[in-house]
Amino acid sequence: MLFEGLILTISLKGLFFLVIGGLIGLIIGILPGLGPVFGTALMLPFTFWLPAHLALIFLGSLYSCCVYGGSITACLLGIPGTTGNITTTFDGYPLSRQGRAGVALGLSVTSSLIGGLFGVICLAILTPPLAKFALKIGPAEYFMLAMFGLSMVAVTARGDTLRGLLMGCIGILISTIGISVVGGENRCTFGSSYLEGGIPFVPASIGLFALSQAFILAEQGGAISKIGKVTSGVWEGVKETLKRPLVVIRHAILGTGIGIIPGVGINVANFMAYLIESRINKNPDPPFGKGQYLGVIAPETANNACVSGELIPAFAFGIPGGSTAAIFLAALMMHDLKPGYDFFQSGGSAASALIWGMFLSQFLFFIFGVIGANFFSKVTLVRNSILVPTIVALCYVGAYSSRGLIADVIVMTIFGIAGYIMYKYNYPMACLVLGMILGPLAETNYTRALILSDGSHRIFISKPISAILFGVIIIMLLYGLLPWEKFFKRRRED
Amino acid sequence: MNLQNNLIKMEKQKSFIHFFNGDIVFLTACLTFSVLIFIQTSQLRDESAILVPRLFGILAILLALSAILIRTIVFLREANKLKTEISSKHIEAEGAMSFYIAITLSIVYLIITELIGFILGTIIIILAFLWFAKYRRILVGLIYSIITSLILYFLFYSVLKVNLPRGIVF
Repeated sequence: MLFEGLILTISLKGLFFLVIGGLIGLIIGILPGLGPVFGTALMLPFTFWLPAHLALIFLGSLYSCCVYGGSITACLLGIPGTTGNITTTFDGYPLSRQGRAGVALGLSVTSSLIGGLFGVICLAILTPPLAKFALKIGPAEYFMLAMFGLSMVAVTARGDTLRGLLMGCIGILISTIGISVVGGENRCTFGSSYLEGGIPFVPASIGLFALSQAFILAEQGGAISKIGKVTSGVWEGVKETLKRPLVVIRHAILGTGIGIIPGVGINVANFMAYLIESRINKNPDPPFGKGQYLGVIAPETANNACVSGELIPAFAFGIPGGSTAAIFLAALMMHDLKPGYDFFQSGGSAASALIWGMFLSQFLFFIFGVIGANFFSKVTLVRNSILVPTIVALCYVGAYSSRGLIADVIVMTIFGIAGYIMYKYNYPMACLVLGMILGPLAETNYTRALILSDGSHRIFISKPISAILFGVIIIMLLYGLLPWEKFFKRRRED
Repeated sequence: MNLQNNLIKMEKQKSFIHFFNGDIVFLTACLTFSVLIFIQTSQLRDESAILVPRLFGILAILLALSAILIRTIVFLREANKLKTEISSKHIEAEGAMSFYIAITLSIVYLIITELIGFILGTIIIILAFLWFAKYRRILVGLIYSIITSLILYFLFYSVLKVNLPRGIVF
């Protein structure tokens, strides 16, 4: 069956749809505000007329290349193409400013390739056992997982804990605006019907990370590359990634693991990978945020591994791991394919063609990335006076395109101004975004767990997975909030 | 003596203005937002919906107040020392513009696009950005702005089927 799938994928038609899907995915990924959900949803109706295997190859290639595409603008312009590339900007963009855009692109394309390949192999081999494990994760574990992510706020903000915690709380407060996830009551909407749907995440993140960047570039003038040239190439980035196999494997496992858990998604994988890596390496040279290679490798490996991870529960049980996985389920239904434990057996050649399509698409974007890197990196030499209005126009369209509402553009502008001030006065933006992403996840599952346990909080420590997570959270909070470094320094001096 | 007093007075005034910078404005905005959310929770009926906004509202208020307090203490300490900071030489790179101009143009873009449509609005705003960035090759700027807005419109409206504003004037 697997061999049949390979034959179908490398047929002329198979390769054609693989390349077309990859190109569309790459373009959609590069454009801010348009992510894989948009891309797959947009192209879904076109796949109705295709045979099942071609439709799945096309969508699989589009999805993989789209997530990689987001890292190109993240590295070159500091603008995450998708919400799964936000932390890539933290170190990828400083590298471009140092005139090393080629290295940044080399790091991102290689780590994306390895992460993506790892995820696809897991999807093919581990779907039944991993899916069984995912079923054990209930609301209590979800809540603990969300709290684990939120406890990272304290760790991320080390050095300026007060402002970090404030940003985390503000992020959670922003996420509470709109219809309550628990009782369905209108909450903190100030009487506005627009706010009933909550503060939209896509325009908010475009404002925080893209528009604010345009303001900073406008103020700086000159060009992104401060040395006026792009000094080193993509192969250095490729080699540097391959020199760090442990980092890549660590975050490939993390990304796949996060992908398997329904409702968490690539943006969480991206953040978790960055935060964990920055904790493991305490004093790297250069530091994180100043062009550290690990700051690009970790998040890019995790988000591309997460792409396939998200599809595991979708194919195994019909439970989508995220919005894009839900669109894949719709594609399966359109072609009379049924998800299940033995999807890759019962799905026939179409199912194995999807696996091969996703596998080959990783190499496709690697080729695009390596060949195009020198060309893409020239963007950093373009004068900011030309780049800034283009970025502002892209931000406008990106925010507007998600729902066609001018109010979304206003939200984007407000977050853009806030992002600029946060950048100027060193407020950790990651804490704000973590609060916005994980707030609703924590709240929903907290209430669900209490309903299941008849109001007893014991549920959070009585289950093994949640008990372990609880222990880790306590350690993280103690580590993040107490001045251990000062304590140990004093001990050493004594 | 009089001159020295005047200098100290001027320095104090200068540092007082310096206190009200973007940082303090941002912290005050965070505090106001937290207070407003907290007040909003009093209108909720469902107990389970109140918990998170109220809990984190209180936390945010306390954290914002602490941050403002710490900033004030640091400011007062520095003001008493009356250190005259030598302002670093600000070297403006080619094409640099003030943040205020950039933000104003972004807001103007938002308004004019609603009025005159995406294509025309984008052309005008790109030209305005180029003008304020002291880019004086008008013909090149005009061609660039027309091509950019048409590419964006074609890509989003025609290919990706995203409805862009057509304007209410035309």
